[in-house]
This record gives sequence, structure tokens and C-alpha cells, in this order.
Amino acid sequence: MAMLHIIRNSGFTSNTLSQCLTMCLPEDAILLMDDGCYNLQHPLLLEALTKQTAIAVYYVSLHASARALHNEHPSLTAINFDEVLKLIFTFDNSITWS
Amino acid sequence: MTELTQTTKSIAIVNTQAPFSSATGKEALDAALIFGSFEQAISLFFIGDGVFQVIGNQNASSLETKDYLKTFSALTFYDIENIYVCQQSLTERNLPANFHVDNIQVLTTAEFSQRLHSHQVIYRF
Repeated sequence: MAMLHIIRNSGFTSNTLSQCLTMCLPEDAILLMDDGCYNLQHPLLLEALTKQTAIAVYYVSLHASARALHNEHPSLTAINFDEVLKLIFTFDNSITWS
Repeated sequence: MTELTQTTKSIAIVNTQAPFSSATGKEALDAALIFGSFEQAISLFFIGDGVFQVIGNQNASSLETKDYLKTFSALTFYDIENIYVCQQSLTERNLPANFHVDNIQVLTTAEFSQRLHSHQVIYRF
């Protein structure tokens, strides 16, 4: 079952990002919301993007721009809240890591 | 959503925090027992510092706090037998596989993740 992993805090202060990455399977996806957007440049995430290319990573563009976080990495997709809703319904289950 | 004809949903409770200094461990166990009392299909997962909740010979009463760890024995009463512990979290913390809770299955990270993926509803504490 494809799982959506939601992360809402920074991977620099807690181990939620690293725990999430150990639990990810190929057809899963990660959604960064609120302070989770601070993970956009987290080395663990960037490394995972190169190693586990099958995992899609989304982030809420509003939350990122509010925090002056800009992303040029091609496989990090900015989305709005309508798309967040669609995302939640396209996956079989979801886990909010924080 | 997958097809809605699916009747029984299996519930996973993921423990990631150590006992005592925060109430999350007790809350997770309470939630598990409540689901159990309604005969829901429920499994418990312990990963990260959550594995500290199940290691043996703890002595919570010496902390003058209510020893909720004793309530883990109520799990079998509610037929909650799917209890999984992450092997990597144990080795990282140099902990032997000696638990005060019975029918614990220690799983590798891959097995642990596979098992977690098979649950429809997941609560992380």
C-alpha cells in the first residue's frame, strides 16, 4: 500500500525526518508542511532523493515562501492546499510523523 | 480512497518516545487498550526511543510516578498480539532483546516498514 508521509517539523531538531526516510518504500511520497519545509535543504532528504528516486516529495509552497525558503531541486514539487487534499486521497494510508 | 467496501480497518499505533518524561507513552497505550476494548484489529509498533518503553527490569515506582508500564500486561487480555519492535533502534541503543512485554516480534527495518504499510490507519505517538 502506497503511504503518504507527512512531516511538520524540522529534521535539524528532531529525528522525524530520518525515521520517515527509514520507513519509506518506493511508491510512497513525502509531504512537507509548516516547519517541515525547513527540510527542503536537509542533507538527509537531498541524499534520499538521489538514492531512492522513486519517492516523490511535495511541499506546501505557501509555507515555504512564508519562511523565505526557495527550492530549485527538480524533484521537490511545490503544491497548494487543493493539491494537498488530492494527495491525501490518492494514497492508501498516511502517517504524520510529527 | 481505495474501494470503500473494505469493512475492517487495521490500526497501527507507532511509539517513538521514551517513557516517564512525557505522557505520550501512556497515551499510546491507553489508545491501544481502548481500540482493543472495541475489538478493533490493532498493532503496536516501537521505533526510535519508543523501544525504551518495552525493555525489561524497569523500576518506575522508584520515580514515584504511576507505573503505566505494568498496564502493558493488559494487552493480552484484549488479544492485542501484534507487537513489533525495530531491530535497528535496539542495536543503535545497545539494548538486548529482553522485554517486559510478551509476544514481541523484533523486525528488521524493511520488515517493520512493510508491516506498517499494511495498516489502513496509523497513529504516531
